[in-house]
Amino acid sequence: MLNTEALAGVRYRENDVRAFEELVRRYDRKLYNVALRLTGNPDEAKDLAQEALLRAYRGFSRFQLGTSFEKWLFRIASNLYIDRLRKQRNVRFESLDEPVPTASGQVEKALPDWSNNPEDVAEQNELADEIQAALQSLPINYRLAVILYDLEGFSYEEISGILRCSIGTVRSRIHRGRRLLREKLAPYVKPAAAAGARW
Amino acid sequence: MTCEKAMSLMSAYLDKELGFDEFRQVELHLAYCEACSQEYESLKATKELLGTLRAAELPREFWPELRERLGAVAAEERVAPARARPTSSARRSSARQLWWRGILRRASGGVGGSLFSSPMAKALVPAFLVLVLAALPMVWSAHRRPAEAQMSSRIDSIEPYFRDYVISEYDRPLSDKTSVGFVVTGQAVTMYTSDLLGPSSKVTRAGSLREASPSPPNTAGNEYTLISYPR
Repeated sequence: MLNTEALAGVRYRENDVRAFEELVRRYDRKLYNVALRLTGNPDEAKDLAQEALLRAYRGFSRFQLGTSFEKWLFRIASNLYIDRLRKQRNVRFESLDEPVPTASGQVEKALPDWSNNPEDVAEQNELADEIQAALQSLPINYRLAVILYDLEGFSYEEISGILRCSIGTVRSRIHRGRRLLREKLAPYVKPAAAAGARW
Repeated sequence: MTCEKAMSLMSAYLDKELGFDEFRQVELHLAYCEACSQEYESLKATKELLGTLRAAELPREFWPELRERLGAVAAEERVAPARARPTSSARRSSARQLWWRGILRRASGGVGGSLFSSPMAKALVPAFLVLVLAALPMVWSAHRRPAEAQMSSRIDSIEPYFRDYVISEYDRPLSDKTSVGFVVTGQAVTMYTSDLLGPSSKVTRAGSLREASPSPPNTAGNEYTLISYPR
């Protein structure tokens, strides 16, 4: 928790959009990336991140100064995404019992702009697509926990604050999520073993 | 530790998110269990694979679009509160009105009327009065609290004078001040001392003075030049 956050918060209370922007600028890219990993679609991710920030702006009076603004913001984004999933009747909830989707194009999505990539763009994009597809296939609670920990570097304690669950639950969700990912990404996770089996 | 337990803790072990005891137990288990070691290695590889994902840049249009949406919300909120929601002070005052209305209704008839006419109520009224009288000093002291707080802040402002006094007496070990007094008037504090060996002295300082006076206390005259301590 930074004092500057509280200060920016106080300034924001004076209806200052620019102060709000200043406050959330340090989280915008991280927020967008979480949204991108959750949705797998750049347009949807942009809209989700923007909507989460708008909600934070509207509901700022409910934010308690002195608590972590970051956790609060990511909680809004997570809840927003879960709400959207629930509302979209045509979006199915994956469960552990469902068959593992392969990378043969079951997940239809637009590709994000990985602008910093060097020459091996194609190869890296291919792997990134596989990982993204595998993430997409995880149940939402596992997906959220894995994304927040493995991709965005939040601690278990922070994730328990964001998702409003116990650290034990965070631990179990990350573990189960990773085990599912390991199955889905088997050829990439154990290339040597897989090659050995084939030979 | 059983394999089942070790396996369930493997990700947390990998992330160093276990307590010391559990961490040590898993570590020991891994030292001799081949199956769990494989589990550990494969989870580690999975985690590393996720780490190869690069963070995407924020789309260029992200902030221009969002600023527009935020501006619209801000404009909406500037208009909305006045007509939509009662302000918090308005809510408070209406709550207060309701409270008063309840009191008045009870006092002027309704339940109150029948109560006051009963013999039990006649006995209760003096008891109630005694209670009120007993509670008065407590209420009175609660009202006096701000004044006490004010006094303590005055004491804080007097504290530097004691220091000045100690400094001024440093080269006069045999002096014998019979009394030290303070008079606080507005922003100024005056210290009076009477000395058996010398003339009485008086020190005045404005409470709002902030710059330090470079000269040391003048012990010869009646009035001291004080070192002002910035607060």
